[in-house]
Amino acid sequence: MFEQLLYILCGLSAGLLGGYLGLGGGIIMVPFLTVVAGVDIKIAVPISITAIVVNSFSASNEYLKKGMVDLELVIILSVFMVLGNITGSFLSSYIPSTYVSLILTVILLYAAFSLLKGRKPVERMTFKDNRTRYLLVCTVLSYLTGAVGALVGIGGCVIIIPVLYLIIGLPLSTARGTCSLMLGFSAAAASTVYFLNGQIDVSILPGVVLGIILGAKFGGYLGTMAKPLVVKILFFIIMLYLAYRLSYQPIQELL
Amino acid sequence: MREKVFNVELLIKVQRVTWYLVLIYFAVVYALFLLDFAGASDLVAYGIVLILAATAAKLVVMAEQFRKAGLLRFSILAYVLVLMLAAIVVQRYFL
Repeated sequence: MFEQLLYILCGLSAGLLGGYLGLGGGIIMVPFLTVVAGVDIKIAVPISITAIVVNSFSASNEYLKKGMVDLELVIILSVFMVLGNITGSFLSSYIPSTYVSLILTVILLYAAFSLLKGRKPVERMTFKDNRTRYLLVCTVLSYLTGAVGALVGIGGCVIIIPVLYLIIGLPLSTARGTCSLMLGFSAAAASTVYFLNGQIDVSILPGVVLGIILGAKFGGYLGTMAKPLVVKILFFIIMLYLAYRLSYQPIQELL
Repeated sequence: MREKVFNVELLIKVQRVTWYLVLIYFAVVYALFLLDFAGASDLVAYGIVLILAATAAKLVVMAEQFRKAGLLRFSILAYVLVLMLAAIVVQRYFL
């Protein structure tokens, strides 16, 4: 009973923060399930990936209503993130939990400092202006992000949002809205792989899904009104904290 | 300009319906888990199928909207995504 309430709380917090920041919530769910609920990371990752698909239903609708989604970019990025996700899902069976946690730590630190550093005055890159460069940047980065995202149980938006913001020149709100819709598609592929391999723990999933579907609805609504500075600071604080919590144990093991 | 030809409202409606379906389904399953109902685990599996099928349906809606908006390249890409999801299932069960 107490465990089931923990799972709802996990989904709720991931949905609220994930929806607000335009993330899937994996960066909150995986540490929550492993650190607070004591679930093994190999079980937490498939749960997180499946819940991310549900998060996308909730949060992205709020961004769509406000016109904060680049629909063409969603499709381009999704295709290559799915390819990356499939690669990452198959690789996850061969990579130990220690290294998976360390990869997540590096990703968190990179994203946090990129956002805090601030934005260079780049002109918004569009498909019509420079197709070759635009497609090259989008496809390569989304493929790599998809692969790493599936390995550590996150939708990959924690990397893609800074990329869209800093390199493509997308406004931060549009970058978050675009990712919010896209991650549903990319995570669905990885979730299918986990589901067909019987890697999803059915006793944990209902609570997490119930929490995230409600949390993301409100998180997404609040996120459409969020100020960029608040978003940046929240990103930075959360990521540094999670990086510390996730890297502490693996580093102790390695030393 | 894109928003004028791509029916975003339809996509929003599809997602809203999906939201209610998943919410009600998993609320029921969660209640059954709390009551220690024997078949609750099987129902979760159907719930996952529901989530994945809804995602595929959303992609088809987007593909058709791109097609109607004259953006065939993106329509094809959206269908490629549907095929990729289907290919995973086919690969697991038939190959």
